[in-house]
Amino acid sequence: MQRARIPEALRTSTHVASGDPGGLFWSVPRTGIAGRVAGALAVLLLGCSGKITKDLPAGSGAAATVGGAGGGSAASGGTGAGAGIASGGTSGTKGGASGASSGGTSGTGTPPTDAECEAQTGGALKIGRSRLSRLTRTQLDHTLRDLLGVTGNPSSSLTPDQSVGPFASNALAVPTDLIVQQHQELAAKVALGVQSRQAEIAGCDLATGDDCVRKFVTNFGLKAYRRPLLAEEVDAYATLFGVAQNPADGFRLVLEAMLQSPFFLYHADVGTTGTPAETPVSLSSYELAARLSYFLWDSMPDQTLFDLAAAGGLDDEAVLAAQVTRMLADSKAKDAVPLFHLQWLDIGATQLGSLASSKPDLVDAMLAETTDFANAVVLSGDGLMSTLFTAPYSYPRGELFGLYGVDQPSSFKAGTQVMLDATKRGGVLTQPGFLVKHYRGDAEGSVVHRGIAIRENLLCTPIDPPPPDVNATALPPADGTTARDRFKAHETGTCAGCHAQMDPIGLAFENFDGLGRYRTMDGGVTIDATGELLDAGDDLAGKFNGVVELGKKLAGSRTVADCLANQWFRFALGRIESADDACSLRSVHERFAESKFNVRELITATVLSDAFRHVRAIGAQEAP
Amino acid sequence: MSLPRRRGLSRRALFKSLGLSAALAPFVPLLNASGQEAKRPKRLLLFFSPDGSADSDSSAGPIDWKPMGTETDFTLNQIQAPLQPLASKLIVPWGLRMSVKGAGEQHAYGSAGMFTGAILKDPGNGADFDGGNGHRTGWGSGPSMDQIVAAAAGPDMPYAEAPDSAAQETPYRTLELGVQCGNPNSVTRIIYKGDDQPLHPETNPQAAFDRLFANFTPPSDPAAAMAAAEQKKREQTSVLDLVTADLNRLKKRVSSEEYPKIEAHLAGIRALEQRLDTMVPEMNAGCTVPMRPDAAGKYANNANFPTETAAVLGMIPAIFACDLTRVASVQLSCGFSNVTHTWLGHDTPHHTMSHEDTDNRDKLMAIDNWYATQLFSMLQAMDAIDEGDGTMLDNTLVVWGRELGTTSHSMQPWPVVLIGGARGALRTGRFLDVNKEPSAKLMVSILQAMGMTSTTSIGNVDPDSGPLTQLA
Repeated sequence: MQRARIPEALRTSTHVASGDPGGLFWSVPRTGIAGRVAGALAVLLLGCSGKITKDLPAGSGAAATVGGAGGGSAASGGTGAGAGIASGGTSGTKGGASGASSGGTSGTGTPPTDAECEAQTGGALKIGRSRLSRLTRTQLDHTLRDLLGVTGNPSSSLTPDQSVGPFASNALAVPTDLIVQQHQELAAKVALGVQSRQAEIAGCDLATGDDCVRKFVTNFGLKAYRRPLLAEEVDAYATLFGVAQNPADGFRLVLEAMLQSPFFLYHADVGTTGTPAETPVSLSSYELAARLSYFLWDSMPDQTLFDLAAAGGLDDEAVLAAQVTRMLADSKAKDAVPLFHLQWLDIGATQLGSLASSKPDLVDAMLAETTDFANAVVLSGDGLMSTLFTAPYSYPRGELFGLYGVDQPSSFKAGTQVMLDATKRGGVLTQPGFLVKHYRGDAEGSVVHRGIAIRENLLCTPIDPPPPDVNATALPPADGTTARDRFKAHETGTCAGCHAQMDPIGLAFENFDGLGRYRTMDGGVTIDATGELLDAGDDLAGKFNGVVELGKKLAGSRTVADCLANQWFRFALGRIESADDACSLRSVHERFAESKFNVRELITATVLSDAFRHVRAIGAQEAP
Repeated sequence: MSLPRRRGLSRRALFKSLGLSAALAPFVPLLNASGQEAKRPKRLLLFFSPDGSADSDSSAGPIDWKPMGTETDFTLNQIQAPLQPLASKLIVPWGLRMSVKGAGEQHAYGSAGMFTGAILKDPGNGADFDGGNGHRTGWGSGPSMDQIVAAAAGPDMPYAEAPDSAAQETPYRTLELGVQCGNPNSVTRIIYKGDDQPLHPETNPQAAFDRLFANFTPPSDPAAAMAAAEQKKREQTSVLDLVTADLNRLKKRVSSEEYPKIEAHLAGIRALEQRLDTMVPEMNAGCTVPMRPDAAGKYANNANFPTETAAVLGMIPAIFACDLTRVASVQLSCGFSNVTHTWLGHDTPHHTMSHEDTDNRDKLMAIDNWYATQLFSMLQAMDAIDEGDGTMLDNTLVVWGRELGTTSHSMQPWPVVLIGGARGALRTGRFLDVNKEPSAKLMVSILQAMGMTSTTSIGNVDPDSGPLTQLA
């Protein structure tokens, strides 16, 4: 029987907005299991037995159980979720992500050679496979805003998104009856809400007859479908319009249908051939415009992009690069860039669950801080990765001032930069959102979990799960002991192999408590926040003291840079990279390095990569 | 038992005789409150509250929570005591070992298996979740009892018409409702349509209310209302036809590996279309529309948990009385419940409290007691609705399950309670000592009680278990 272990909080959806955190953040007992200390220690030592294999094939166990899953199949007349998914595919979320990244950067995979990548032109091009994916909640909100001027977050009425890696994505989820109905209700509500603005939206007087109706359907439909409508589609909408008893209702019905159409709700990239292919195909101009806008704006293309798409202008690399620059300067980039950072670092209202339900204002402030910081560094600042990990300033507001122990300046305006104590704080790793998210309580392995977060999210090196049946209960805090004392059990015996990769990192975070406040004492003893990166590559190896020094180490690491690039790649494409993406990723890694690790250049390089500009729809999602 | 004439047919006949259109169906209850044949559909409700029975990790030791007394004369233990007034209408099968196992730890595979008897799978097919203790999981591997029942049809079952029949008896084949159930993952989902097919509960009570009861407003001008309803049906049919055409056009453009998504989306559209035609709702005296709940709070605020719970449970009797569905589930919170029961004076989340070294059993008991009280208020409302030969509760089977046996992660005894008689299929008012029997047996018995009399197996943890013979 296993006891008392708070699991790592979930990574399923990192949505900032809209609330359904439920019980997802298992906050932490302040006390452990007194009276079992000796026993726990013993089990801790005994439990970590055996050599842990590096590659636990995520799919193999599943396959075995799938085969045995027939019992009571009376309800199997449904959708067959599993049936259509690539047989080879662990594809994936977290586990796949980790494995994939090791292939792409620091792991066992051999990087492709120049010759190999140069040979990948034309028909020999290789990229990973894309999936049909439904818009995420934030994509839908931003799209409705840009398409119809609808504000707020209407998508909060939808079932929460699923994820691919750390990023929200509905690429793998099979829709349920409920989500279809929720989309229908949302479409009806939005259409009704904008009915009074029909003249403005339609651009002509719909009462004048079929010409105006077709003009409206053609022009508005292009924006909703993110491509020109086919003649038969225009006809269908004109017919639908005629079902209504008056032009206002006709307008409403057209909108209702468009907002439920799969061409609105899904990213349905098939490329210039219009049919699914096993070999990579160039995206159509409209598909590329949409992929670009959802990447950089988390929303639909604007008129400039549609115009370029119509003219085929995005085929030109220089034009494409110029669009990236233009789009990053647009205020809509302030939706997508923070979204990346919050999901990459696993910060969100859901992740901060118990705090979000008890102190929503504080959680809002934490999310806003990392949001403002990401925008300031990546969009208006120097853009450097190193700044993300070392900046001695942040963007606190509200209760965060107290938490930082900094006085709020008079006439302070939220979103203003505030200098912090550079000996204690630096970059995203010391921001309360990150610190709170990866905190698990003194008794529950914050040391381990904060170490895992650095390993998996920042270095893209997976940590294998503990062996089955290990008692993972940490020793409880007690006066006169620090976490370093309590986690000593991990340093010897068979636990050491894996825990050496995480505990020495996590211990450097001990200066920060469960709310992200700086502390110097634990259990009446002065905290020793020295840490070490073991088995992490030459540019990271060695000891450091505290998170500020850790940040400086990460800031100059190629391993971290390659991982960051891979995370952006996943965010951009809504999928985990595969071995076929190796040459695309290599080009991104190189351009990122050439730019001295400027994230804006990284974004441009990602857009210019073959993987971004092509689609491959068929074939197994091969193991990375 | 003879099957009552299916309501759909009789309803159509009624409309015909009144010269009304089916499109007016949503208003009919208000036009027609009397003169109906007694309708007693059999119904199933799965009810979930989180964590195991109060135990805690303290050294205070386990409690077995066994009822006191004999099979037919017993007193419920403290965690179920609020149900005591309904003792004659319930069954406590005490001592069951949960037929659950798989990836992750107990909260995870307990959630996936408690109502399915199916294994929680390892990560795969794109599903990869934290299952506790650093172990990762996929989704569950089999359908839950409610979905099994709803997918079947037959005499003495909730539905006589098959799921794909054009003549549906209710607008919804099943309804999944919940309160603060978290984002989709293996710990937070308990209802499965099948292998790898979790169903997500609607957790916004106001959205659920609007969806279900929007049309239940008496028209001031019935003729105008009828015309409007017919026009609305024409419009919505056209909208959905267009969306269907688009889905079919999309299907031609994508890889066959995407077909499951498109097929599922099409199925969702068909369900919407079917609802436009549904002959609903069969009203009896109990079909009173509840109050419209307030909107859900930001971040599923902890403080709103009681009001959201009350709103959802307040809708259930009306949902059944109005015959919106006959198979439903209610999920309150989820495995690893992070709800802090501040209204009970607690300042630590439920799950956290279960693993503290102090003896928290009194507080955990208070939580169990609170859930039982919420459940009781719903059951009481159902028992107050007369359906002819008996009450709504008599015609329903409510199964109260939890993802663990005890808070200290024992999967035995499972604190399950059955309430209601399933229209005479179960002998109630009983406490059965079925110590260490697999819960799969109980689930098979439940399927049999719902009319699937030839079923002898559920899931893949304890397949072919047969029924729980002691229940007979």
